[in-house]
Amino acid sequence: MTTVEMLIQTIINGILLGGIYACFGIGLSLLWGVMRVGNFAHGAIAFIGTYLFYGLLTSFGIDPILSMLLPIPLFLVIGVILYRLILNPVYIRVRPEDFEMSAMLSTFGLALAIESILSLKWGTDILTIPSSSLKYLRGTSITFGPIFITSQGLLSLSLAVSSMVLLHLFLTKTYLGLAIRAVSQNREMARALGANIQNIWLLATGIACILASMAGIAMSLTYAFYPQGYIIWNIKAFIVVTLGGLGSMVGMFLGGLILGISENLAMTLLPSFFSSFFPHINVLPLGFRDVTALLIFLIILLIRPQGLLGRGS
Amino acid sequence: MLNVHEINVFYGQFQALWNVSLDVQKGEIVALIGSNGAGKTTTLKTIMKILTPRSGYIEFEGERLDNVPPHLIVEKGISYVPQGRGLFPYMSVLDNLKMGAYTQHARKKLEENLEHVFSLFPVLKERKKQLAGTLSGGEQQMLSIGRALMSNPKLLLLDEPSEGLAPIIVQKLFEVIIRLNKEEGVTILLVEQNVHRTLEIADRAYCLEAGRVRLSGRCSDLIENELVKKVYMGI
Repeated sequence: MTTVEMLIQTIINGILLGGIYACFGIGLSLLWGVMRVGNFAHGAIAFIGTYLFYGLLTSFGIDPILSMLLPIPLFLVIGVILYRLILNPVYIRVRPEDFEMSAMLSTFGLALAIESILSLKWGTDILTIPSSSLKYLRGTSITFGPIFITSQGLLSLSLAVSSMVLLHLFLTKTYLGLAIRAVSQNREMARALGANIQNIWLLATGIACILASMAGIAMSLTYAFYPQGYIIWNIKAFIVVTLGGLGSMVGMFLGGLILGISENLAMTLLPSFFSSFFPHINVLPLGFRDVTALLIFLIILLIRPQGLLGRGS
Repeated sequence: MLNVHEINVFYGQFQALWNVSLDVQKGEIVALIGSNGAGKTTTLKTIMKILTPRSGYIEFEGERLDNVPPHLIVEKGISYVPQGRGLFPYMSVLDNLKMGAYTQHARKKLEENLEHVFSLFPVLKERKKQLAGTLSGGEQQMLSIGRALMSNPKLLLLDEPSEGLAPIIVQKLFEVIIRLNKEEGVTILLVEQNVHRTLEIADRAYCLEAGRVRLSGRCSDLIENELVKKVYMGI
């Protein structure tokens, strides 16, 4: 494999990873936009999706597409629980200026609870989706000479892209979607025009949970997972949303791609860079992936605090 | 039609309205005038149930609004054009207008009402795909009024529609307000800083001062009133 081929391969892997990041980001950005909730449980809810998908495939041997779609109603219910049991009570009880912080901390508590429940059922081992259980979706990799794209990678990217497209269509083509956007731009006026804010919030929470489950499934198709693993995905989702600029779906996808590609490039290029200074280092610790992500985040925030395609404050 | 009865409204410890009462009859243009902080906007926000009075009540067409949730006020036939227009800046002109027809019965008449608003404000039709935040001040105000008309209101609450607009645009705006009232039979409660012009077009007016109704009466009388001349028109 030549250097150029290696670079292309790295970028392709980066794009696939970026799609997953963006997929985690959309639900998060929806809930933030509509309700100003920085949902720390988003990754954990996504992992419920991951483990249910895993369970349906391995314990019951259910068709993979069905395993993706069957839990969707359950995630609507999880959304209702999240809203009725946590977000709405917090909204009613705290002063408006404290809501963002209180809601964020409550969702953090929920994340810990979900993590514990997942560990109880599935243990804390690192798991992967056995490719045999994916049946007809398994397929072979697409290869161009030495460069290859795994079919599972493509599947997760298409899951991410179709989630985004469907959400976009819902937000722009339906009256409820219109109301969701209106509430996120001017809550008081949307209510004066007849939108029931509580119902819109409930709906948005439900949709955000479904999007989370899709992200969890997309992630599990290419990556290994364990109950605590959601934390880093959640942080990456926050980064992607902030990078892209709040309220911009295209910006967020771009943010995901930038993050995914640069992480992968760093992991490929940095070892040889380091070893030219420190000959005894020839492998980078895996944690460097996240260090790179956070550094890029920091740099972009310094240059463009409103995000790449953000709307200002 | 609208009857505001002795409302007292607070922002925390601060009392913004003191026993404010006013009424609006069907077909009238009633003006609410007063200096900054007199409580004009607070009065409109209380009618829209954005604020809740500590005592007193509001009646619309003989029905008390106490237990009507805020998002159902528009269903009763009251539309609100807030100060600063209250547009959805990242939504297109068309989407803003569609949001104005959010209630079930207004949604059924969407096409009809869109045509009506476009005939009143042709510029909105030209710009219907444009984001609301990119319109000029005058166009934004027309959009805000157009959006309020999308629900077929019986009563229109206008909060300082002329604020920040060039005089020639203000002139057009007042013509539209008169036309809505005279030709379409929309009752209007108008909050304005532009006192002289407002007293010319309105039937009756209430003068607010420090949260209390200081004066009220027919505009033809008020316009001759020495106090009004001195305090509000600087003559």
